[in-house]
Amino acid sequence: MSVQPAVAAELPTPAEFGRAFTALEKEIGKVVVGHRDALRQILIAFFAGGHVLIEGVPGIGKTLIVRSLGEALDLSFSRVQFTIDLMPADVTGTRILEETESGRRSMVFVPGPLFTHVMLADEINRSTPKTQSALLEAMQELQVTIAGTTHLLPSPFFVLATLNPIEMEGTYPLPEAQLDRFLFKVPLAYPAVDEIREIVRETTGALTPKIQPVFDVEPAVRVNQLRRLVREVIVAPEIEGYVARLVRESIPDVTENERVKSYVSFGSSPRGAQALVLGAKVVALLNGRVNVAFSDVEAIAPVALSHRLVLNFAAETEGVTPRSIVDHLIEVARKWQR
Amino acid sequence: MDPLSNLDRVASRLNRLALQRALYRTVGLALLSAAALGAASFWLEPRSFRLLFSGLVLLCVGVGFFSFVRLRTAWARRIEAARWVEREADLDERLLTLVSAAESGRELRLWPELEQDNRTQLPRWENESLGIRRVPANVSLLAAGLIAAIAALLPFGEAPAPLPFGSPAVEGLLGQVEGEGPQRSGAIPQPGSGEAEGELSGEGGKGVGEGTGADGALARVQTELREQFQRSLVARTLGGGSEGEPGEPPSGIRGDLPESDRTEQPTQDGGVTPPEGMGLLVEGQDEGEKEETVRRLNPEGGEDTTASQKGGMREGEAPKSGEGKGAPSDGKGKEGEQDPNAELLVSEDATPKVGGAGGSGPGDAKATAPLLAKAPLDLSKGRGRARFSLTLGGASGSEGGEGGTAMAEPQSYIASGERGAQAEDRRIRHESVPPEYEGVIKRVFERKS
Repeated sequence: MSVQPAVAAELPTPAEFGRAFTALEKEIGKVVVGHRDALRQILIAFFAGGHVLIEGVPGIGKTLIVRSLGEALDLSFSRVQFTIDLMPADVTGTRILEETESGRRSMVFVPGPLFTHVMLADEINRSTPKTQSALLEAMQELQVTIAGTTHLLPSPFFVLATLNPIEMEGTYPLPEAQLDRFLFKVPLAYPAVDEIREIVRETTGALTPKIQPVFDVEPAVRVNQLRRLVREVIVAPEIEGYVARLVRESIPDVTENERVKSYVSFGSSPRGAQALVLGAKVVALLNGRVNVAFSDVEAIAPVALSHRLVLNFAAETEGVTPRSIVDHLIEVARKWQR
Repeated sequence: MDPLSNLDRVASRLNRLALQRALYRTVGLALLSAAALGAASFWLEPRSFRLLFSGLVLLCVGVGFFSFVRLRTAWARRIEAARWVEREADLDERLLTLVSAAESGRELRLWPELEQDNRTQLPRWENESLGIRRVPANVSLLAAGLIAAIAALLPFGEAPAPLPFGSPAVEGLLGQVEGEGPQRSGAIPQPGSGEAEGELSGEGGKGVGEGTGADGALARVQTELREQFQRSLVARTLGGGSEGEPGEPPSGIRGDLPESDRTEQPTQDGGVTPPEGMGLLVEGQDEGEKEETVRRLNPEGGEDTTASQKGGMREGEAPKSGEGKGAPSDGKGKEGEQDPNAELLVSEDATPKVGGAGGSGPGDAKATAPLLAKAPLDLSKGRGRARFSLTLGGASGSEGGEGGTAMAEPQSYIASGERGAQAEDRRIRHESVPPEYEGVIKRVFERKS
């Protein structure tokens, strides 16, 4: 049976995707020292059309990464520092009464910082759940409805939220349902000694590296083309089945896995499977393939599934982390691959 | 080359291999089982043989069914072949995706790239690089089965041991013998007669080896019996026939031994000693007393004598006919004397004092029935432990016979027309018969009333 190729209108090739991705990594790497894996995962989520939650202590370059991404893509960038008194309208925008020159008054919508291509929601867990929900709804729907009027967010729309794992007092941890809306949760580790030395050298000198845009013209259109290419990557039914089993295996109510049953309270939702496949598609393109392999799924599973697992008290007391559970699931799932 | 075409070739090769595996496994096991059965048939008891046979048949059927099921599950279509190639060549699911996409028929924008990608990967999984075996490893099972079958089933070297009685083959032979009519089952042919020779040797029109093919085992049995009969008959004096009759032994061996030679020692004048173990057992008239008498043939004396091991004429025993060339006996037995032809005349006639043909002396004959009056043996078709033995002289009584002291011959139920044949029969009935032939002998020599 032959398959007729669809008309590939304005669709970049996998090679072009790889070149763009590599260029982005290189440009951002000019100012972000280290964190190469984290940066790669952030870019994967970006091209997969998802949002990323970055967890790390202050001062390790979270904001710098996001700002550098915006600059490299030559896309609009905004930053919102979430605090306890931040209101939803402060994020989404609000209607104000405006008087025209003729004296007429009307309500005019003033877009908030949400209306941008790349948004940094810094320390999102410090705002109230109401504000968090307003942001997360926009992330999911890519639109904001205010006073009965729906406002579409610009495309591409990418949210990078950060979580500060310390100073938890007075914070509002994100509910699991809201955590689920982030494609990846990327942990930022402390830089190594060499990386710190390079950070010092790069940021304390007279010359500050300048990021050059990767796309010369219409960067947003180009990014969207690359995102469409990602969606076109072919997934075999075996891969889909593997992903589905992997996700279902994380649910303690249905799995036979003793480790999962012992330490996991709630497993991954189907969004986890979506995140796995979308992220694996990007990884496949980065590996020069137009098909997803099992190894692509394995590579992306830790950042796609860890924040979707809710561990129980036993896991906390025994020091079991979501990442270790995911690693265990990947090991178990290897036998399903063949 | 097109990746999908190459995949089809790989699938066909995998299927051939799976088919070979199933075939070799099943046939090899069947051959091994047949060889084991062939070997076991020489030494296993029938019951054990049947058990082994059933077990091996079940095993073969089970393995055959398992091979069929496994062949069915292992039969590789394109997608299964793609999985196998992925395992072997580690193509990062390129081929699997290609096959899936081709079978789904969906419109794919990246189909050309996928096809091209697979084409560039093709050298990694061409036939030669995959190393698919042309012959599966379990061909050794087939070879072992063939070797075992050749070794165990083909007849070479020594002739196989006789089949155990009770086996279906022997039972079939016996049934065949029974079906050959009264001539075979009823009467013993006269030794020396043409009919007898023809039948025993298989040269006659009714030879055993003729026709059904069977029947090497029965032929061997009969051949051996014939030889034993001949030895036995030659060793003994045949008292029933007239001189010059066909089959009559030479006159020189019909005479009685002199009294001095009535011992178990071989005669000095060329008398023939019966083979070992073929001496006639004679039961004395006294309870429990048995004497084994060994007849000696005296070519000159013409007197048939019987040497008593334990000596002494049994009281009341009647002298019997059977003198070779001598005058007819008077039929009177003397107390304490022994008629040397007593046993030989036992079945001569139910009527006392009937003269033998050709000058043989008449004598009181004992009936056959009392002589066979022992309880019938249950030979269990040759598998029993009991031995087939007949004894003479078991009858007692004073009926018939002149002189009062002579033992009277009871009335025989045998028709007079069969007397001649039964006289010969009587000479062989005390043979020590090998246990494995008992069943055959009983059937062959069975008299039908």
